[in-house]
Amino acid sequence: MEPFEKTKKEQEFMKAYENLAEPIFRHCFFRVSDREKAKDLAQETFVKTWEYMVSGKEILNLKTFLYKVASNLIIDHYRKHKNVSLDALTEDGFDKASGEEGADIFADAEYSQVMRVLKDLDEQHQEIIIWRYVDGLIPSEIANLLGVTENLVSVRLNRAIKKLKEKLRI
Amino acid sequence: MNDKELEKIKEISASISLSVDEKNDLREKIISQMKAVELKQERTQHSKRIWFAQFLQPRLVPSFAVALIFVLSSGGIAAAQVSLPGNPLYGIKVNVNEKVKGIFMVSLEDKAQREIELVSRRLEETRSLALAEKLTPEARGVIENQLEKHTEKVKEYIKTSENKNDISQAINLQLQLEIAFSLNEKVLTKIETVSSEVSPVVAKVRREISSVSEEKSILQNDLSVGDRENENISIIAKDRLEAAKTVTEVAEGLVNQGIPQFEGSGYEDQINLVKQDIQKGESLLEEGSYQEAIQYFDKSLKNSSEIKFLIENFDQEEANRVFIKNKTLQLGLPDMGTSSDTGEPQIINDSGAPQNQSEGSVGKSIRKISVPNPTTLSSPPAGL
Repeated sequence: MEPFEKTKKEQEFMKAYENLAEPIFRHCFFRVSDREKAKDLAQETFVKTWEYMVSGKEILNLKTFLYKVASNLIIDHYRKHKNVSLDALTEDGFDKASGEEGADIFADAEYSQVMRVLKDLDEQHQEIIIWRYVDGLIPSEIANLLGVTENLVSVRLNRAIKKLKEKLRI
Repeated sequence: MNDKELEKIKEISASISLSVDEKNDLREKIISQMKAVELKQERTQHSKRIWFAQFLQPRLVPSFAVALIFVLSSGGIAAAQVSLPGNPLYGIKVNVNEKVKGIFMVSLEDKAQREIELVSRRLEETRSLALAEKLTPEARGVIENQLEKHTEKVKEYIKTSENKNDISQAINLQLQLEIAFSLNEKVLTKIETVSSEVSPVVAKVRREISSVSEEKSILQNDLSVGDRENENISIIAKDRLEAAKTVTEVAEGLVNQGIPQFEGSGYEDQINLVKQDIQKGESLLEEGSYQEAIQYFDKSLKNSSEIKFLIENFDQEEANRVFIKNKTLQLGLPDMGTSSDTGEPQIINDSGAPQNQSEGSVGKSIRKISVPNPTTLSSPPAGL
């Protein structure tokens, strides 16, 4: 890579870090329910993305690319740790370590219930709800991530919400 | 979406965040890993380049057929790639390999950057030859000739950008050329004592830095005076700010990696000076003094690039050799810096005299490590 091109990429990458470190961490946290693991996954997401960038390959949308990498790493994480079931995570609840602001919110029974149900959804439904309502991605960005049309994203999202509500009523 | 459940998810989401310390810690870890990724990538790309060159040579340069038969049959391309002036394969390297790669560059910017890369390469060759004590007047002549050709080509591309009214690109290329010269000037200055042939090259490089810098100032002035309402100059200033900040951040990450050779080397202080310059530039930017702000950003970019370059290219053996050479000159001793057979640096005892390795007794702390002292940062831009 040419020196100036490299500098431009570093610039773009560091800017992405400043803007997206928090959302990517949050996404990982919602998916793995472990603060330290979420930080590790966020770190790995950025490093893998940089590896891709310096290999000279083009990234059209860095934001969606980062989410895609994070998502793949989370899947790998679960494959490697098959013993840690989602059920176990649901029972344990979220890792509230570090006493961060807002931790009190988890003490609310209603919130805990929503989170348990969310984690109880199948991976596809859980993922799409997190992308839309935790990460705030718009349907076109989710479509880009999944490689499907926006219409299909809307359909899947509606199904996921329906499932979530059904489970909450049980 | 006013659904109660979804609102709750959003609320929970908003309550989860990284602390400032956590974010800083994560950033540091990522920056330190970026370097490892780049090194790995460079090694892979080097192997690919050699393969690519082998594939292309015979079809594109038939007039070199005889030479290429030799080259292809003996793995000579790889040898040519690393050859230096004085080596028979050097001609193939600069006249065939490098030109062939240039053919496939399409945009003016790519072509110009390619030539800037070759400028750097010629200067790196000067350093390698000097350290191997093989920088003869003839070899220097070959390098200077090539250096001139590449520099002229970059200047042609800059002129073309100007003619196309793409002043921003012209200024960017000037800055890149200036940085390439500046970085190598710093490195070559350090080894001037090793070979008397280095000084003329350093002098030439300094002339080029001065010329490019002057031309860049003229273009920047034209840009701001010619059209004050034009947003170009403010966009350039903001781009430069981003670039300076990024490179400084990366350089800082490298300095803070905790590598023993760089502890106490003064890099931390230099990073702080660079940051101060960036702050001064930012204040000027806010005031709308774009021209002056750009000068501060360019200075910061050059200085942080220099720190980054020196750390990334730090070579312990080279540092030892330069140290020995300097010590030898300082003590007025006969040249004994390297063992003539192997070129390996000798171990130096605390008084600076060479010590026979076979006689070295265990427990004596005798190895000197030459820390690359970065040169003092240049004074603030004139007129500020």
